[in-house]
Amino acid sequence: MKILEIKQIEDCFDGSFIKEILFDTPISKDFIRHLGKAGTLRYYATFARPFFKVFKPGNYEFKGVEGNCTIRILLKKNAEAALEDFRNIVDSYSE
Amino acid sequence: MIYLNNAATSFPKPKEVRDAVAAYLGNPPFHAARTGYDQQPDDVVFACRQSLATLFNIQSPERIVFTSGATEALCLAIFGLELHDAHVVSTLIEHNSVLRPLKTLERDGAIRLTLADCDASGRVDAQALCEQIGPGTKAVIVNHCSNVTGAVTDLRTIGTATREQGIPFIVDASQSAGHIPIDVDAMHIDLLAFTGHKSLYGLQGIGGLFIRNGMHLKPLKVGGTGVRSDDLFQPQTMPMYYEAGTPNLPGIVSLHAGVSFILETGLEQIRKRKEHCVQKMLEQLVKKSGIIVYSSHESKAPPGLFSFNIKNMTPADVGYMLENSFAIIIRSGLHCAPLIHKALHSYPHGSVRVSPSYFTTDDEIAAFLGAIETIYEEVQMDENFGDQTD
Repeated sequence: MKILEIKQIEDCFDGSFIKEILFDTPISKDFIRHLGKAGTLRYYATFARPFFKVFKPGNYEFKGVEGNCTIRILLKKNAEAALEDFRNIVDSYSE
Repeated sequence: MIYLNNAATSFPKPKEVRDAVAAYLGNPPFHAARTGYDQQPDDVVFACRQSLATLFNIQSPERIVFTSGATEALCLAIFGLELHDAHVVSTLIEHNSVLRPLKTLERDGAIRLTLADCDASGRVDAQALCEQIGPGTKAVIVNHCSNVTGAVTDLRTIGTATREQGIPFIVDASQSAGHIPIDVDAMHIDLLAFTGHKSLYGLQGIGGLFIRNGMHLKPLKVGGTGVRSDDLFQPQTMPMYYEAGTPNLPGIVSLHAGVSFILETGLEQIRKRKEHCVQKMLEQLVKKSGIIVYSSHESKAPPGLFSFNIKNMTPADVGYMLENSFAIIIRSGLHCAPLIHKALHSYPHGSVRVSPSYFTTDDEIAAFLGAIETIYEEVQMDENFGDQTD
């Protein structure tokens, strides 16, 4: 999985940022499981298209849908470090 | 895809609107007033003013000025009054298109601002608002229909009070125009701002302001009018005085077709269909203890839109799930109306807003309710979901 683009969505009032991350291929269940290692994973398979969210309190949280090519991430206090952390998790994934 | 975000922009547009815009774009951009002819009944600009005048019971169509939308119309109304050392009464349910101009004037020391309260459904008590009017009050500005809860403000009561005291009465009809009756004479409205792209079924980028005869506003802009080009000052005839620059003819064509559709279909029929949709959805949602509904649905007439939240979930998450997992488009957040959320205790995350249209089907309502049922059962019952959020 490669990150193709990171798009700024919103600068929040509390100093956090919301970004949309575009991947080169659709997000698989296996990739979701891998991303879940970053924090606490919630996965809802009964949705028309399965939804997931990963929480790392105080740092970041991200959500997406299986089969989509994007993830929406909310970066908290140290946004650059949190984003770098997320990049590392993505880079450590091997299909 | 199921579209339930008509309070932002209506979709789909009536076939008549799509056909009219396509036909316009397929022909040379003829505009009677700018090609040297007198206004003719078949001139779409003239015809659009007439159809709007019929919809709002405006006696003189030339008192309707086209703008880029409600925001520009409200800025023309609020800044055009040239308020100084004035007291202004407005409400907590206003959109930022009203709040920001007013707060700017307040910050600049031009006005003192009183914002009338609302109840838990977003409803403003008209009588209580009138009690805020004092000797120094120079304008009263109210939202006809909340874009968060759908609560409708009693304009007649407020208009009667402002007319008796000779105070300009400005109404933001962004959410009401096209499905709630508006009569500028019976409601004593002096300045009526509306947008074309919501319940009037036009394109984005067109709206307007009705300016009652006798009201003088300073124009927001001056410039070309296509006629009287030898005059180095803005011609003061209506509506030209406020319409400098190239008119948005595709927008006006769409607006005319949209308003004509409303007049032919009947406002009552459109309103009843939207109310039916809202009623069907609310009947199910209010049964769930974990769902907080922000709506005036317990009144005689249900609103044309409503908001809700699911306990332990942010509206952003609910909106994301609906859009990405169920292909249902709604709107989540503060809806550009931050102060009403403080009154509703839904600040700072806001709410999930659902706004059906005349064209929303019963199957679409059922699909929405099915999606909410799934989200509610799966996520809301997952005690750990909300605990993770900071």
